[in-house]
Amino acid sequence: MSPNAKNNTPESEFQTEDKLYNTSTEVTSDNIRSMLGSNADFTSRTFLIRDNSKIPATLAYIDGLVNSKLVNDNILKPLAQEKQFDTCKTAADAIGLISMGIVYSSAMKLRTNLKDLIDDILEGSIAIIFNDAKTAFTFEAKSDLKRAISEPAAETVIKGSKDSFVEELRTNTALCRKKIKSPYLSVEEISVGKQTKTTIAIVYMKNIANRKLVDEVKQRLEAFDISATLTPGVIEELLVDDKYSTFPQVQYTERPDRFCINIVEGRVGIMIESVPTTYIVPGTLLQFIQALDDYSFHFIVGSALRFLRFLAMFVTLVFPGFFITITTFHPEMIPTELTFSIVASREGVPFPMFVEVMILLIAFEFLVEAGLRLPKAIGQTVSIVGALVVGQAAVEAKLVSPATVIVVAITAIAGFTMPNQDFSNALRLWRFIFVILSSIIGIFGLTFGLIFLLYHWCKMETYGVPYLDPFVANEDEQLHDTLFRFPFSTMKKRPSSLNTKNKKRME
Amino acid sequence: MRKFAVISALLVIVTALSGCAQIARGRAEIDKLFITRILSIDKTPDGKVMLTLTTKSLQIGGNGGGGQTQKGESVVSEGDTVFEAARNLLIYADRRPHYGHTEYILFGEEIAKEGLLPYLDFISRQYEFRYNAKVYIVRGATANSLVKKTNTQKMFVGDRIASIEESAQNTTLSTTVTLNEALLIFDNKNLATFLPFIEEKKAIIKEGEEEKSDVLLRGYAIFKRDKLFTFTSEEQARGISWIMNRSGSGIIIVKSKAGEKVSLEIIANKAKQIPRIEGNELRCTIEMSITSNIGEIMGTETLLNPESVKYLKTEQEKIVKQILEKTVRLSQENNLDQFSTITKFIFKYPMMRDYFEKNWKDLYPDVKFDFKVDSNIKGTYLLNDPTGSTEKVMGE
Repeated sequence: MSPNAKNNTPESEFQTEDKLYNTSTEVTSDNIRSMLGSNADFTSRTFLIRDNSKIPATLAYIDGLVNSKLVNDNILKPLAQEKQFDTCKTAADAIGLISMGIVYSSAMKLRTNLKDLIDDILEGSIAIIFNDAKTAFTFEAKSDLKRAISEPAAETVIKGSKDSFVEELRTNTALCRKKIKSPYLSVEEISVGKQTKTTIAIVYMKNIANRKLVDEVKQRLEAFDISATLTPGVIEELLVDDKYSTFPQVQYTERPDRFCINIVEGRVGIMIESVPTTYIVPGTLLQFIQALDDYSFHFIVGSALRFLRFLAMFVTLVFPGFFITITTFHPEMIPTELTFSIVASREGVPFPMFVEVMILLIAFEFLVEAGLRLPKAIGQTVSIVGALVVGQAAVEAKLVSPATVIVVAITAIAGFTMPNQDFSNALRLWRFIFVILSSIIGIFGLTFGLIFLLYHWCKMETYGVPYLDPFVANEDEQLHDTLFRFPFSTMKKRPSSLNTKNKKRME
Repeated sequence: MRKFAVISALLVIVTALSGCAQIARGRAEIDKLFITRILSIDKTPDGKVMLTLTTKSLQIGGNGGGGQTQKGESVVSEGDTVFEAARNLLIYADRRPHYGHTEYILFGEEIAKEGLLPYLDFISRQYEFRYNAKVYIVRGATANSLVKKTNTQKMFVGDRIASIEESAQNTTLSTTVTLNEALLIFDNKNLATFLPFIEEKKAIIKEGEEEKSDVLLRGYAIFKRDKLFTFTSEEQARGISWIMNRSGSGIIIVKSKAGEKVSLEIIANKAKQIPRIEGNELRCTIEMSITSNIGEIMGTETLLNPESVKYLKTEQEKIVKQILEKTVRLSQENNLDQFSTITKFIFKYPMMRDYFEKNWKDLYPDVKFDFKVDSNIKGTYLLNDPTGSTEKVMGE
């Protein structure tokens, strides 16, 4: 049988399921079994409530999604042992009693159509189906399929909390509530993805966030018709304005404190079920260079570190291109003694400077990629191979000059200082553009590249906020938290570009 | 389409309107360049222009174990004009000459006597030269021979000149003149240029060692228009440096009442020319303040008393005045306004600018100069009385 033939076989079954899976289908155990019965992890059995043959009920759940102990103790035990059921003569009587809370469950839902019932079961509820009454109860009894809250892996800080978001959406909202104990904190949920039905929570402060911003986020998420949203990149693409820009327009974080700081600022947070990374919109250039530690240290130290990061951004972007420029087109720009050092270091190297730089940059990209993909246990191998082969051996073999190795190493290290990986990746890409432009027409090419990059940044907007905010279109004290971080006492207003309801951060 | 138009416009502006017609042809790998450190310009016996480019020794290798030294290289070429000589360099050099790192421009005495302007003009039009390159005149030899003799594997002549430039600050002998300064002075027809000169000197060697040559900075070469006129003595060089406020420290030797030599170290000096017209006479007062410390006493006399210090001040004043007078006299005798005195008169009497500019050659020799020296001795490095100064007392 060909694969195509195999795929064609169950088509009729899908059609059956499509007919059943809607809000007009009656709730019966047979219908449930028709929909989910073919799954190995689906469990259903019929039992009698208080051993009364007049009140049969069917238990249905997905094994693994529900907590068995909770089901046995809080749901099945009362149904089998509660004496009040002795008075019941029909299923309707039993339904009445259960509605009044005879079963110990805080989250109980009465379902009268098959679609809702199946959705509940798939979310980890247990269903008690009364065929006679065409009614079912679902009780939330989710199993503990969640990871414990651990230290953030990608966003480490020296000072500050050590918790991070997990895959469980409710845990994440709870972490947020724990930090913002305000009745104005709003968590709205929507479902995205035809098949995956991923729950997405939109988090914002009702009394601060601009309602238009919240509505825009909701609208974008709801408007998208997609079958699966298992990777965060899909949601990210829904949220950005300029899909062709390599620069990130949405800030991501796995840190609850960072998430909450932004929420209180008036931004909108997005949490995705099963994804430990949360998103914050709108994202501007400055946010990708700011680190949480800038606010943890003394403002002078914090300012120095931030300025260093700005410098690192510039270095990682233009240094290899600039090096090609000065060594190939404008050697008079190099200090005399340094010129001779570079000339001496290039003795015997057969490649032009451009090729040399490209070889090293590409080798570095290989190393980074390999380091990401390799299992941790053999991850060290990459460092050793990188240091010995690319570094020492290549220099000794006169494939590259030591000066170029140093330039590429500084470029790479400077790139790693970026707090946001998406931003760092964009810089990596643009670095190659600058190298190519520099090798064609020297400083003019580099300048052209920089002008073009500035033009690109200037025309970018995220949710109506300029990407270069607050360097452009700012108001008074907005520049107090840009290149340098001024004391908190001078930053009394929220970012004006967000147009928040409450503009004052402090009195 | 709009984006495309913007990008294209930017590209066109950057490439086409940059002022460099052949922008991409400027490309050359750094190791394929002959990076000139010293440019020597001389005249050959048959009247041709000789250019010598010298570069510094290269340190090669360095895989943790030192490395080898490559001897500094020189490339020589000749031509009927400086432009031809420069073009001929391409024939003799295995790499393209690059002038962006030229630190020193040396002129031989013979070519300096014929006039520097054609060469300076060529250099100023060559876009690669830095305007802060220093210009020197080589006394008594060609620049090529000085470089050849003094450039050794151990000591690059450029580094040697750099070190004597630094020490010149402490001797008031001479100061550096950059290409930019030289061009500015040459452009003013009423001013006389002075450029520092260097000369070759046999180095002091140990017994059995090979004969070595060294470079010394001796004073200034004085120019009449662009032609070398004369070389100053050390004293006149000091006078020029003082009047032009170009000197740092230095030593003045005076004699104490007892006739012992006392070294005064100059710690500050400032000169000012104050022009005035009295009747039909042009007069200029050179006011100079000089402050020094007592550096050393070549004797046993104690000078740390007000009376002795006052005496030394007067002696210092006399010597400084003497040097200034000699320097100005020589300048007037040769009718060479090296001190830009004309500029001071023009600033004071701007309405007479044209008159001064037209007649300065006739006016300058008759300008009456007065000298006022404010001599100060601040203190001393001698915390104790000189050794032997108490001998007499104890003997008694």
